[in-house]
Amino acid sequence: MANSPPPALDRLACDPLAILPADVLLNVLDHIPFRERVRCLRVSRCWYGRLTAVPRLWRDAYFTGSLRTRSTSAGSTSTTAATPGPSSQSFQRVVQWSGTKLRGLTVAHGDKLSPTALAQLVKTQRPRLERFGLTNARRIESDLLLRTVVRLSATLTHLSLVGCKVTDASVREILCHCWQLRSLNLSHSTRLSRFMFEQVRIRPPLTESPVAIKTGATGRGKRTYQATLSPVRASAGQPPAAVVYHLPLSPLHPPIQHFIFRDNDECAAPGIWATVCTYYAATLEELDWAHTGDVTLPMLDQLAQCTRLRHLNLSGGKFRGAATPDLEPALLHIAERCPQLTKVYLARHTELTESHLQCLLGLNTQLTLLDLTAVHCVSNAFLRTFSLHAPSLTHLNLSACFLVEDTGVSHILKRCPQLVYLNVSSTAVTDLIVMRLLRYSRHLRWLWMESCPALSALGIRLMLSPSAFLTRLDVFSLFNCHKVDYETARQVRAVMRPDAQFRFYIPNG
Amino acid sequence: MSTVQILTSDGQTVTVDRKVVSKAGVIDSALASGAEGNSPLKLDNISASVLEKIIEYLKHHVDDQPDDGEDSDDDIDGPRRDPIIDTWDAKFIEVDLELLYELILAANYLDIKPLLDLGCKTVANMIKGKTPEEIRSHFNIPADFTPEEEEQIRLENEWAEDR
Repeated sequence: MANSPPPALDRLACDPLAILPADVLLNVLDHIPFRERVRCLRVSRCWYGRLTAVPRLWRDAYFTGSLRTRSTSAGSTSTTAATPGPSSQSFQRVVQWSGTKLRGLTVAHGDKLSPTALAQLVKTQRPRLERFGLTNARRIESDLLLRTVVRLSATLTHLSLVGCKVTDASVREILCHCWQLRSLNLSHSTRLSRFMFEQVRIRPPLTESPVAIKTGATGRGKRTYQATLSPVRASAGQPPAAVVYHLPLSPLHPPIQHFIFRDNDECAAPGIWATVCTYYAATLEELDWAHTGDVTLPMLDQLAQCTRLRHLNLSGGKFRGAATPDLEPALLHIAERCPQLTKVYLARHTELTESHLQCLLGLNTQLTLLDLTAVHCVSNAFLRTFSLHAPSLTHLNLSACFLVEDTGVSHILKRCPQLVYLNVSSTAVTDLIVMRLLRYSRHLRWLWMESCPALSALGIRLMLSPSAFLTRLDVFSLFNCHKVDYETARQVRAVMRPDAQFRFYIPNG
Repeated sequence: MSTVQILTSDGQTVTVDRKVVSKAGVIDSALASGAEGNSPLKLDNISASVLEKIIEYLKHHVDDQPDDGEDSDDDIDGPRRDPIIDTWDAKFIEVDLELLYELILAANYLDIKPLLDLGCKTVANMIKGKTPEEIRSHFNIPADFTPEEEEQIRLENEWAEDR
């Protein structure tokens, strides 16, 4: 290898944006979250110029808070409350850079969003938004919110209004106008009832242009609706008074696949559940019902209509009638009717027994995610049986499953080679599990071992020597593991990648 | 038996297994479109050291199945690429910036998608999680905004700042 020594690097030779051609640059920047792209603008004139010249980078705008809390070895979490919301100026800039073809707009800290900023966006643009999301927009009244969504309705496929002022009437209007809506997130809404789905009326266009409704299988078998609608003119702040006519419900509802309804404990939840499971039985793929009240046996029967269901989140509720013998057949029925279930969240279902879990999961061989947080019945024997038919499992949460020991987790590690996420916090695992992890896990990236009283520094040190295991991890938590000392924690942190997160803290340590 | 000779930009001739090198789209099509002969394939903008590195990569991945299509997982958070790099790849790409850029450019030119993606991910990981000041010092970029201009951009996008 008699190479000539590399030429001295001049300043420009190090700047990726000055060297790489546009298409390669795009590939690089695709990996960088929206928020960090915005921050990159401040680097230099060259960066500002080149970044803002690529509309594609700005089409999916995520005005989100800090996702990464700066991790410290003391495990303190920083607050994101102080983060200011996007100003109307930054909105406008992004719209401008996107070549006025904004495709997605998400504002996560919507409490800072002023009505004028939103109104301006709606007024000045002719948006072709496919995704629109607002969280906690408490200053936006429901009529402005509705007007905004209606204006975006022709192209909207994903709508998320978390903790916003949403009423029955506005949901009804939204469903009337958004022909193509596939994902609807109404978490933290509280004031809704099942009547929000009724009398969904289809509004004909204001102009003479015909409405073409195409139904039938397309692409990946999804039902799509295509409509040519003239943009709605929000005249004098009022939605146009159009002729509305009444149609039978089912075929003209938008083809909703994802219905997310978390943290709505005060709603008339069972009624909404029944309506969703009936109206969207043909399309529903995801039902997120976390912390939205208990699930009764009739509700399970209704759920069994949704044969395309893939993701089911029932965390934080309870199955009513768990003590009766009727729950087992109901769960078995779901397992039979929904063979495509891949992600199941059952956190905090303390009432379940092992045979319940067997009924729901025993038939399924393609589960990828299972959340069993605080499902106290989970035992080593259950994990052994479960591991036999979960070859594609990637995420498993066993935190606060007190009966789980090394043997149970070992079965999972041995038979689920694709595991990337494992949470064994507050279980009875010992140092032995570290050896199993080193031996079997090939893809693990998130590892949570918080509050494991039996885990000691000796075991953790085993991870240090073949460092490949630790360098692969994105998140590793040893929070509240009393037998692990600070010195070991420091060494672990040093081996892990700088961009990975490590949580460690011992009270009174 | 089937080997290919490649003439690099610095005038060296490298002999490679054809199976290895056919992963590179450009070379593959050049070979397929005849001109087999004895004349070595000329690659004007790739030096021998970079080519050696690329061949090392191709040799390791010679039996990989090509990735067919993106998995279009329509999540509400939008499509995000997988940021994870395989252990061997991570070791392989641990090179200085100059060679990294040369590898990316060569992979782009030769149409080796996985290597291009690997290089781009690596550069992205260098940018990710850094403040603008840290990015500047990492890539040795001079700060050419006036303090007023920079403050203005910062204020406009205050929501994006880390705190």
